[in-house]
Amino acid sequence: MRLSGRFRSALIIGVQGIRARKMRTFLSMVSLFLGVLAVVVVQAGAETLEQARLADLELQVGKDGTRQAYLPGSGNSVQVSNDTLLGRTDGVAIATRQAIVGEPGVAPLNPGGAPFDQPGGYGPGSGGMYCDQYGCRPMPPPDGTEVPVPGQAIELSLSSLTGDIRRFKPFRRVSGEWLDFTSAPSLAPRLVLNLAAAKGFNQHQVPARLRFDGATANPTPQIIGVVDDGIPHPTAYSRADELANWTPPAAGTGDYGPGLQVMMAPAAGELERLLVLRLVATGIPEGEIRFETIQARKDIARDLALIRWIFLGMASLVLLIGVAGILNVGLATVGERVEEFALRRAVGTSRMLLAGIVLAETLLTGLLTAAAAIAVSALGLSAAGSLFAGQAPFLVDMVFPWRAGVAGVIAGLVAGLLGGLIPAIRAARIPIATVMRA
Amino acid sequence: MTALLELHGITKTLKGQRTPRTILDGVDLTVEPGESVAILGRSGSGKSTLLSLIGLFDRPDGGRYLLGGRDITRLSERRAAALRSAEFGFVFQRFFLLKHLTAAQNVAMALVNGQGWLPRRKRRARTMAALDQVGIAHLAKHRPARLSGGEQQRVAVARALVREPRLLLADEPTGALDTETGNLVIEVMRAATDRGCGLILVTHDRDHANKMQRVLRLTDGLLQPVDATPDEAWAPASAPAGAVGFEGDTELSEGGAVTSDGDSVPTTIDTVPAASGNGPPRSAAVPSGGGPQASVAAPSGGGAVAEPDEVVR
Repeated sequence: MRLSGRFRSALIIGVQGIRARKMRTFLSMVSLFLGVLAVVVVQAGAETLEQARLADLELQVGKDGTRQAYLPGSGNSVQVSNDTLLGRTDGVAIATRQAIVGEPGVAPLNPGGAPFDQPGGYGPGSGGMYCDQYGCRPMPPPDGTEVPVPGQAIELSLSSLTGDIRRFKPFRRVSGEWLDFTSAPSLAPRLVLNLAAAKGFNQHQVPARLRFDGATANPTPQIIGVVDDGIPHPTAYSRADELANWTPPAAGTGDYGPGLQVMMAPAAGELERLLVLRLVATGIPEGEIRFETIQARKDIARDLALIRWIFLGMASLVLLIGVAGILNVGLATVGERVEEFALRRAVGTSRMLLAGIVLAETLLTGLLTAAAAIAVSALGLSAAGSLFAGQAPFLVDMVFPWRAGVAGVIAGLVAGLLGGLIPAIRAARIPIATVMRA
Repeated sequence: MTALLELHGITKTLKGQRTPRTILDGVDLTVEPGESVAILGRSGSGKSTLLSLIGLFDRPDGGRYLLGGRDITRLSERRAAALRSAEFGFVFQRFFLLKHLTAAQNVAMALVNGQGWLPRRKRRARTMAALDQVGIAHLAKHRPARLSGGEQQRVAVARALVREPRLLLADEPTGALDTETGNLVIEVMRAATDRGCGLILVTHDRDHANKMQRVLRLTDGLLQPVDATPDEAWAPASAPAGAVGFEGDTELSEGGAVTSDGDSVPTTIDTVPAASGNGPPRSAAVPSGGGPQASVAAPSGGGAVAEPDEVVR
């Protein structure tokens, strides 16, 4: 109660002091503003950068904490994984194989599924594939006799999904819509392209025939949307059950099975164990099934820590200049208020409380400055989001990071404390008899 | 009955100079509850120093200081602050009002000092009561710049009284006021003694001093009683020839004093001679009858503490 009374007294008198000296308070705030603003901007910048990097990393690797495993695609592993995870929300199996959309019996426009802005062999089976009425196969070596001629076909990676992968990889919708896993499977497999694939389909007119290894026929695909998945080579996503309509259960059992990736929520331990048991039962050695946890944030933090500290160091220097300003104003103010402080001591204010009053004033000044700096930073971020949305799309949905606000408040309080400490000590040392001698 | 305040052999030497200067050389003083005491003395005689010791602004070098029978000679700063808040009210020559606060806020500052906490409603009620006590409740919202000197000093008195102190210490409170306004302020402070509050008034004004129940003079570091009624009491007992005895309207010279009005004032004072040797202290009788009991005693020898039975009551 006593402490509370002192605190309240310091606060009341501090506010009275600030109100009585508005111009000095304003000057203190001006000197401190740039320092606090620097800290807020550095922190906000670091947070923004971290979020942007994290978003990119999560897009490519997966969300922080996700459990993932790469499994051999041979044998029945794809079938078992699909059966286990189909319809689940806490896990998804992604079987990826090369596919071609377009004319049969021709070499694709982008052999090997290369990006369209990077011509030449690329990606899985850099020689590329070709497909005819008998199915798809790797391109023969250059010295072979049956080299297909280039035609209107686009090679891409085709990922079949047992569920919504966006729970684990936050794909950004660009256009159209995402796969609907709740509806009945379609005989015409619905495809969602990534940006690299969309580029190819935008540049080239190709027949709507989907060919992939193991397919019993060439279905007509439906391209329903485009997403940004952070992958630079052409990729398409489809429902596993829609592709399964065109793939007999025995398909993919050869040496060249699809790449199989499984992603699970951190809390899906039971599901993970069930899948491992089933896979082991199909003959996959348990030692080859290794789940790992994605630690995207940790990786980024390591990268960004050094940069952040360097910038914070620079911001601290600016803040110190602000502290010098508030100190200067504080000392001048105490010099002017000698009689007031002596009088306050005469009416029973202790030295400690007197120091607390001066500190309360500088701390309140620091807080006001922090509030101003945070407001300016938030407005600046909002303006940057509007101005630079084209160059930096992540700025559009960017919310002012609360940690930057906290850093600003801490910077303001620390500056207030440092700037007010010496004036507070001086105020506490003013001899009380000053009022008697005046 | 326990005395409100007792000083026994208080000494104080100023050390900040090449030659230490003894300001108080064994001061004895007793003040009863509700008693008013005026202290006179030349400039530099140590009146304000004595008041600052009584008000716990400073510590004595020697002697004992009892407040309500409790020895408070050596107090920590924190305890001294608490006592200043609870037991004392201060009025200074300069009003020391904070110009950025209203009259009410200036009074309330004595309540917002970290010594206990009063809710705003109670603070306001006590502030208004104190302002009402000094007759300026209607000026509560005025800032000092809009108040006359007398009104400002009454605000200062209200600030001193708002915590209902046991002892009011006033250091030349009328020094910056005209006679009429000064009288008003003195009356306000004297009224506080009717409620049991002690009053120690340091002044150069004889009229104001005469309104106190007891008048003492500080000379050579010692407090001596003054017969308060006759004019001749107003001359210093040991003033050097030609020295200015009091600030204010009385100029002293060898063999007499001349007021600013030209009236001649005898310099001889009918005081009891100072104690010498080991004999009993010589003290002045104080108002008798039903009034408060108070006494002053000069110490025997070199400033020794006077025994209670040496104090003439």
